[in-house]
Amino acid sequence: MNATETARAAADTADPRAGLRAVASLRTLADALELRQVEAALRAGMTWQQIADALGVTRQAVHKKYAKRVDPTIAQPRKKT
Amino acid sequence: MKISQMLATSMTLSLTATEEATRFGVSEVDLEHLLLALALDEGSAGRALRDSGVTSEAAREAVAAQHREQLASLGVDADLPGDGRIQWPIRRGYDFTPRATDVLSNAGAKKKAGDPPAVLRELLAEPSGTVSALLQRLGTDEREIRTRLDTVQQEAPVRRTPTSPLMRTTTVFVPAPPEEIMALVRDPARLPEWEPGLERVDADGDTWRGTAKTSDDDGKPLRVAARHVRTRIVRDAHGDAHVAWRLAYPDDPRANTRRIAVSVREADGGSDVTVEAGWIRGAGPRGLRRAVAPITRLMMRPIVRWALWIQLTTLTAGISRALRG
Repeated sequence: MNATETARAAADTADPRAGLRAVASLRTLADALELRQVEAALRAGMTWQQIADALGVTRQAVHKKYAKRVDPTIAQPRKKT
Repeated sequence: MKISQMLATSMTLSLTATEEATRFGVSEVDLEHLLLALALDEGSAGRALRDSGVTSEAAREAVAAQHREQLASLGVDADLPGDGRIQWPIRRGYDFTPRATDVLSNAGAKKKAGDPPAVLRELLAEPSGTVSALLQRLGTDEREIRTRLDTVQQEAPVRRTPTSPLMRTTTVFVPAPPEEIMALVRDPARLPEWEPGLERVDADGDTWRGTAKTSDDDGKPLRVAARHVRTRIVRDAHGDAHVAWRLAYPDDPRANTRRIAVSVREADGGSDVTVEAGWIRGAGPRGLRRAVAPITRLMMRPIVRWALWIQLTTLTAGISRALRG
């Protein structure tokens, strides 16, 4: 699918119910990918603040969402100020 | 009765649903994973689904395909990131989506049974259309499944007379043929796959020597008494459809011996696996503690029952997971 087709598909609002469910799938995918990237970032030694900056959210938000969820074998960074 | 039914249902279902969710690499357990878990139920809910073509395997493929197509409709060419296998051990912090939590709690609301059929009925009525679309993909619909739920003989819970107050029995459905299950449960080397306390099992003449896990899967140390690290494992009986294990602590000769018996019977789309587990009483404590032992036993009875139930659930979940992969 090229960029034009993508834009057309995403803008298809003929069946909003199916469209909304599709967006829910997209959110599930985005959340799953976010968790993976957060784990990769922690493994690479990034701090919660650096991860939050890259995601464009606050450190508290990303920490609250993922501190308990990430692979427990990753050594989590202590708060750095 | 209802509280314990609800507790048992939601514990078993949420564990299975979480296991199924890990296949997809998603970060939350949602409605579709509850459906996958119900397709593995041994009672009337599971049978109504399987009889309508909703087997765990077909449903899993339908879930993946549905996400793939929905993403494609938005112009995104991607699959969910999981590799399709259960990620064990399950990480802490795995959450249920609010709507999945609602389905479980509504099934236990006033005048509802809180059992797997009640959860299935809630799921069939969920408003997002996700479950409906999945069923359509699987060649069935809510009405067919509701009809089957209404007509399937609601089996009276089997009242098994336990052989002793320290024994308990349960039956679960496993989507694998009896031979495959027996190959797992009869093999001493494979005991650690489904008996979570065992790290490894080595041959030792006619019997086997088990070594207990001393750290959990995250590498954190577990509290295991030194005298309970070594286990002597005896296979009491085994046949084409039955095996019985005895696990004793050679370093603690007065302790109770564990007994685990598994029997397998072919069922539609898989097997019914009956597991009996519990303790055979050992010599028990000495001295003053011996004198009060009968009272202690009486007071401990509810806790013992609870512990037995946990032990059984863990074993059956282990067998199911090892075969579902």
